[in-house]
Amino acid sequence: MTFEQIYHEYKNLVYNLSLQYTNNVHDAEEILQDVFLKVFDHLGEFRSTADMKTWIYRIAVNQSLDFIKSQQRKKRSFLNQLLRIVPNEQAFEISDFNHLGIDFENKEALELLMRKIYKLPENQKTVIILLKIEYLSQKEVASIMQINEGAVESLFQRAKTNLKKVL
Amino acid sequence: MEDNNMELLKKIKRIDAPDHIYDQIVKHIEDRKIQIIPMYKIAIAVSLLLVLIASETIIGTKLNKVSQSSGNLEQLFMQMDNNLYNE
Repeated sequence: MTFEQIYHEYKNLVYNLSLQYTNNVHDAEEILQDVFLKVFDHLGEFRSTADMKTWIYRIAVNQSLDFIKSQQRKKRSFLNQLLRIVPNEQAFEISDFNHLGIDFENKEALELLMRKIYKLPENQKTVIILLKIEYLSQKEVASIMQINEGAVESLFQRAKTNLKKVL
Repeated sequence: MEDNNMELLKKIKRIDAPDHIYDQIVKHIEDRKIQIIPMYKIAIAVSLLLVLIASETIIGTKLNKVSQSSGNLEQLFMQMDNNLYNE
């Protein structure tokens, strides 16, 4: 497959996954670009026998998590704290919720839920997104996250418990 | 409540990625290629730097020898001076 073919095959997968993490279309576009630049750079190293979908999912998950971390770092920067532009707790909030996959009918409830998911620890957040929004199997999630299926189930249960606590 | 949350997540729709992103990615890749400095230019710059360092080392060594000699001469004059006083 050429790079262009790979892009068109997986662009929606990456875009929607990024959107579940960031809840903002512009951030998702940025991550989409970064993911495929990485795919382009490492395509030569990719073993043809391996599952490309798993590989691309893994890059997209890591890029999305890195993006969120860098956004939080910027918000929590010393200068911001000094000038009290952004209080520390707000650094972990979604500042600009703009998720096109959520229609008006369900907006309020889904926005609240996505904001809570956003605050989960990285592994729990990833498991919820991959299992319950991307509809992947536990086996696929385990392969992407490079953990065993038992760990996936354990993370899922902890995520549900944490969501129950904050809701 | 937990099951309601998981049911609610099923209402999230999938959307299509914008069309312009591929062009932006291609442009990014092309811009990166232009920014890579040709190897031969790097080789010339490194060579010049090595020549400069070597020259400075050689000149510096020679200058040190000269100043050492000057120092010896100075000492000699001082001794002669002292000799004069001792007479």
